[in-house]
Amino acid sequence: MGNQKNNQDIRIVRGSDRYAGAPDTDLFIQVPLENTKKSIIEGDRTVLLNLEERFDHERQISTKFRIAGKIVNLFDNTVSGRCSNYSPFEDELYLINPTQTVIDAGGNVNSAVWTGYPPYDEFNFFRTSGIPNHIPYRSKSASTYNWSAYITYPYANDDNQIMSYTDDETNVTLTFNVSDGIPYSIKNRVVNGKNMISFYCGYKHNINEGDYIYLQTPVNGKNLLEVYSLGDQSYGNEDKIINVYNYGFTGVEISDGYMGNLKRVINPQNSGETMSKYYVRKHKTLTDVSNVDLTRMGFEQNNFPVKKKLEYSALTPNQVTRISVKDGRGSFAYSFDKDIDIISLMDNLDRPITELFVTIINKGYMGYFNSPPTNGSPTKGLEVGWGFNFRENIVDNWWSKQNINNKDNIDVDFYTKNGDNGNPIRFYFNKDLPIGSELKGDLCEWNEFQQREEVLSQMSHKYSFNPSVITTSGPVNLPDGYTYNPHHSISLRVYSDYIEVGDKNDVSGVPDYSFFSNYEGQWRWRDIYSYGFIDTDGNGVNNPFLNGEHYPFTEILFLQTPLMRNNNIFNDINFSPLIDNCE
Amino acid sequence: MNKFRLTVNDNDTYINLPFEITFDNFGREDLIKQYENDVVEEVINPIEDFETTRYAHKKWLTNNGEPNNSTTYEFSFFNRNIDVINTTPANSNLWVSSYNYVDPSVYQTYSGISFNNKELYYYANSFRRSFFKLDFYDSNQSENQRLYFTIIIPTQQGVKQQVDIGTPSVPKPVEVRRPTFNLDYIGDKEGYFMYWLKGREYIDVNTFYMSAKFFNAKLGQFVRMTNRPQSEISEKFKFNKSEYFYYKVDLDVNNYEYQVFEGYGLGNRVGQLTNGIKWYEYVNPQ
Repeated sequence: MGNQKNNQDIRIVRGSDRYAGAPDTDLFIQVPLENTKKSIIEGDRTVLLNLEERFDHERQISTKFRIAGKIVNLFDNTVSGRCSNYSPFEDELYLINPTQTVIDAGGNVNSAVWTGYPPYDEFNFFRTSGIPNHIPYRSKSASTYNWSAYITYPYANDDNQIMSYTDDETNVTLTFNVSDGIPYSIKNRVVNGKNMISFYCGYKHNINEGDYIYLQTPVNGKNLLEVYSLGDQSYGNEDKIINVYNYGFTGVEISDGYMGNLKRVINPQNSGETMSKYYVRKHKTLTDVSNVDLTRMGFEQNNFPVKKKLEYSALTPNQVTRISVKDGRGSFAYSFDKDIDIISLMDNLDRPITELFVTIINKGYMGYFNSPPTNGSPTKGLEVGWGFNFRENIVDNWWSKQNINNKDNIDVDFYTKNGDNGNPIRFYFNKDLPIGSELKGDLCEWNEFQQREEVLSQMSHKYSFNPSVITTSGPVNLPDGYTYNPHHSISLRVYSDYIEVGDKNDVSGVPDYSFFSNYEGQWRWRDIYSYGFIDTDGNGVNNPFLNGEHYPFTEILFLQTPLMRNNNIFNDINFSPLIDNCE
Repeated sequence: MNKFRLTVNDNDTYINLPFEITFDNFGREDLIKQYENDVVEEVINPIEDFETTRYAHKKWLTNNGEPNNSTTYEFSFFNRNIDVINTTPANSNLWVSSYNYVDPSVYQTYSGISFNNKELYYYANSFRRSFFKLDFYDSNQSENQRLYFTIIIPTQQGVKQQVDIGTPSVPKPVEVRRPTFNLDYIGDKEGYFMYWLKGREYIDVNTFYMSAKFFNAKLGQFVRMTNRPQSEISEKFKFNKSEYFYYKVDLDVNNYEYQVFEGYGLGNRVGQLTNGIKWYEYVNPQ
């Protein structure tokens, strides 16, 4: 019998009893003969297995990554100095003209003032020895004395970063908020008989001909101007110069040297949705220093020569013969022993993670670098800046130790040793970061309508010499040092080159990170290519997949460069026109 | 089947007929599909994590209280001054950490099994191709143990000692290797790290038993090693193998570190610079 709960009461009433004059009739009750069993049809439960499909299925559903790769350290040791008050450092210098130094001291080695370059060991990723009479050396820390490496991901945006851009021609500085847009300097030009207002931008503008620019400061009451062309007569500067046809604008806002900020607009009728946003990415660490294994690669070295020499005992401060190394070369293998599961991670635009970063930060445990300012930010030894903070012939004042806007979430620590004069010297180093630390990143543009994020200017760290231990020619607030890019991208997946659109009434198949355009009345998004798919333009990733995890391998070209470099001065190469025999 | 008998009377008569409704639970098909997937995953191509990582020696403190991570192995060979069966605990010094361990003038028979100083200095093939092999088992019971991984320590590593390869009239002092290894992150590092699975889903073994052999390329033979000199073992040949042929190795899967403990007695930690992992040649009965 069935469940008592499901029993039905059936009342059978004789026909003549229903109402007066009703006839008696035969009654029938149809009793269902119910079969609750169901035969399994052969074939319904048959699964055809295809090795390739199984592999692809497992690959597509996996969200775990094992990060490994190679670091090529490119470095040119160019800053020299004196370590007159700390003999352990002085005894290690790659000495500059030691013979002349001894002659100048009248042959008295003890009174000579030695000048030299810090040894290459201070810039290397893997140091095999310490500094005698300084601090004990531990082989386990060979790869962590100078640099620390972490895996990070961009998790948020900073719209409030204060920046400054100095025009190299006028030497005028514009201080602005990153969300104000691209800094520019005006130059009026005549191109093919047309008056042009040229906007010389501080960094890559990512604007095309036909796009519009939105000016923070309107020109004759107009904020939106159409881009007529890009670049000037020099070669290869289209990505930094915007030309707008001047059909009668007047005012100081278009005078030569005027500086302001602009934003990209694709469609002036829909400027609300098509205007780009500008921000600094914020990274969060997913690993700590104990998670990285960094080793020297056996045979691979870069193309630049090792520069070393024999320092003769009679020409050294401690009168010991040694070999000093100024420049080295080497490649290093890195791998993280912590697997990264991205299933719960969203990026800075609330989209699924498609990119991780290997973030490398100078540690400088030996103490040559990273002294904090005496006031302002006394716990910060590193400065951060962006591409437009590098100038050709002068160190941008942005890098000043006193600047409170160029600091990141990296604190210094120190230990103390006595100098040659008996007074204590502080040797600073950057502390290791715990998991979850936040760091500044690249300056980016996000265009909601195009659903594309573009890196416009990479972020750099500057580490500078500690004036207490080595004296260089740099001023106190702008000490000499080197810069490097800390964040190095590891592509996990890529967004499609095309934009998908979806009807507003149809939400199936529309990813949760899509953008609804009120102007067009439809959803807009970019697909994420599946693992292993490479489109015709070469976009996509095809990383090895085994053990249920992806194995992206990324080569990092790690450049350590001095502060002065030409980022904003454009190449003046003018190519000669082709002349053939017909002319 | 129930029988119903209806009699005529003035009252209404009722028959209760059951109408069975058996609910087909929502999602039953999905459950079957899920079960099907589970079976398929289990039967064909289950994903196992075979990834290995390196385990470094757990930190220890020097006499000065400074942290250190090096691993020291000391291999000693029997110099055969006397027959091993006649050795007593006082003869432990007959096991010496040197490749040149047999005095030919004493035991001509055995001179072939050691290396002379010139072979060591010039890295003769017979020396260069000899090596120490450390085997790691899941048990110290040889009857049911399983070998999981192996470490090779080449003879090109090791601390150096000064010997003379000249003649009495023209001495030529040189440095040659001896079978004591201070392995570390830098320098002699071959054999320092142990490479074992990252996860424990596939093989859940964290404790291994390490045995050692020396493969002698000069003879084409190998010798086993014990964790104490045979002279200290009362029964020179009929001893408990699980006690004297192994050291215990514990892997810390959280920090990827290893520690080595004596295979007998109190199980003290060994491997430090002044308390190395000592291996002694086991000499078979003649």
